Amino acid sequence: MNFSKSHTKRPLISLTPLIDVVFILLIFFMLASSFTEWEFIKLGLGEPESLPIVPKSQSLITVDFEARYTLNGEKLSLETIAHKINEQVRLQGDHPVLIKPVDDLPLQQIVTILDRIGEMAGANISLVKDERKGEH
Amino acid sequence: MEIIEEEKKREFETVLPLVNIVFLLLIFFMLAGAFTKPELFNVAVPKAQIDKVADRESLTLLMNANNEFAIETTPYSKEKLLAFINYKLVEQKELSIQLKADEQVKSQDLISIMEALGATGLQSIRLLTVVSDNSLPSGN
Repeated sequence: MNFSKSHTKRPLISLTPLIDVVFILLIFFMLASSFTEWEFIKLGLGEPESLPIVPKSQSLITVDFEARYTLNGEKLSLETIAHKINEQVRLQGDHPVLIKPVDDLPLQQIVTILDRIGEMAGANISLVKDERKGEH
Repeated sequence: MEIIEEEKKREFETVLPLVNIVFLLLIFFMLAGAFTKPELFNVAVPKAQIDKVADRESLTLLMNANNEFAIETTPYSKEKLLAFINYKLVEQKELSIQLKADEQVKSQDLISIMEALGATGLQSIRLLTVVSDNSLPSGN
């Protein structure tokens, strides 16, 4: 009689191996995948010498270790500089902006400036060397 | 015999919601996550609040605070790197390069590599950053 019963009822398949495999896959995908959102700042690589050296046609920003900023030699706050550059970019779409950091300045400080100024579309930003200490 | 069969059936039915959830999580991670390419060294990327999302497929150049360079897991000296970029530029005129530089990279090292890259004929470079409000889980 036992024989006839096995034919009438569907046998239950054990789910344990399936769950094991799915768990392993889940752990693999959790560890291997990344959700970091990478963003970028576009920087011009053109030689600074090749830019037209005409006063007022470009903005030169300098920055030192104490986060003191100057725009074309004038000491200003970063907010004011960003505002002035914004105005310049509005007047002249491809207004070149040069950033001259002091030597050994960590990249994060440069990015802080770029973050404020780079928001303006069309801002043509390049970095220039601080010539006071000579060539490396 | 009947009791054992009943117990097995109940166990089978109680485990089903768990399997469903695990499957959903698996599908979520498979679709939403992106695989990261292995990298030679860890780079603490500077933080900014820009909404230009970087392209994962572009050539990414790694640079650490000791002025060392790598592409994925291959270390490159500055000369080798420039030769490689020159070679790539011959293949692909509109080459777009992303620079994943450490937040501690010194300004003169960065400018020096940028000038060297500019001399190869590259017009611009994309400096990678991460969102400053780091509420998102980091994959690395």
